Amino acid sequence: MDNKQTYHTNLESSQYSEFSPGLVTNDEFIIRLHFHPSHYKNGSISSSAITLTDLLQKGLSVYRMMYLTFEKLNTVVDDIHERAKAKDKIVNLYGYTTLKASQIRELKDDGNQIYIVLDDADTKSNYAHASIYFSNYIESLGLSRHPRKQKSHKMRLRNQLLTLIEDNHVIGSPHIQK
Amino acid sequence: MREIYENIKTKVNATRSFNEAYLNSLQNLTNEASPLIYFNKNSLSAIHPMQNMISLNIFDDPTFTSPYLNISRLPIISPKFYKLKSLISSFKDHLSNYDFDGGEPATMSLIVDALTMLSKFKDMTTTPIIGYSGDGEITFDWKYDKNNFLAISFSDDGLYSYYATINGKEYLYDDANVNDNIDSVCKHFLYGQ
Repeated sequence: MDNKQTYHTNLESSQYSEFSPGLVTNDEFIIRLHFHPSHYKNGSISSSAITLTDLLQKGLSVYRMMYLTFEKLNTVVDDIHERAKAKDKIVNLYGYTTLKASQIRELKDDGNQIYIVLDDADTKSNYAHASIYFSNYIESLGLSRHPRKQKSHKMRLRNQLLTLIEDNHVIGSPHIQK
Repeated sequence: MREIYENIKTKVNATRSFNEAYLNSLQNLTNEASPLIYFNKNSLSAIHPMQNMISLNIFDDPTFTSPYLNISRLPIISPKFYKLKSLISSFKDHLSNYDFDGGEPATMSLIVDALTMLSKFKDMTTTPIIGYSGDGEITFDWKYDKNNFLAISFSDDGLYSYYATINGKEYLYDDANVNDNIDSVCKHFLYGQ
């Protein structure tokens, strides 16, 4: 089984791979990048900017601030630009949200932790990458990891993270030291 | 264009997947301004961009007895509505892996579901935030404040789900049919607080 599919059993207690700099600690800052128009609409972050498939299966992409380099940030942004340009579209880095990992881990529903934050660097160049997933609270509610089933309950839980991200978002590019 | 509608008339009772393939081939054959024509259970719709304009025709009669456009039956649609339709239609134009995270363009049937729902909102007084995620979800969001929020989600199967809060009270609904009438929770957001 792929490591990414074991998130709900090993939770946040084991390092993902040899490329990972280690577990994501509670006081560590992570950053989520927002692109326009994919994520922003009329000044708000769209629900679809945080996909249920990511939260349930693939992991919502974030970067660990202490390991994110200026070059890596530029590579990510340039890749998105180039991809959009190939279709005569313009996609820009519009903003970002930085949060402590603990802020995400402390989101609760009926006293239960909703989200986990995992290190998931699968290559050397992906050193700074981490992901947010729904915790195994999903299963304890009797919900499946299938994004299309019992969707309204998952949308309800997603809304907590969306609100936290939106409340802390900043318009502009993050300042990363060269 | 007339020939296209004649052909559509004969196929109107076919399955949706067949219609999609059929209409895709029509679009390749025609020299007109690339009309996007699509079916749903109870409606036939067409979008054709001409000189930066997009027009929409919705026929409520599934038997579609006239092959020609009946102008008197065309709904009056605001520019705001055109813009939302255009946005939804554009989700099919994404490249594969457009977001470098495995994102795929929207399927035609997902777009049809969202447009079918949108067609019920022609007289809405508020505008949703419409988004698309590469995993095949289109969302309509209405956000007034943290206690008054509606998110509708479509997933390519003719059904939608929503999560809403009205003055802090939560409403959850799954497997609603895009062809059915919208309920009072959705109407609450469509027409303002």
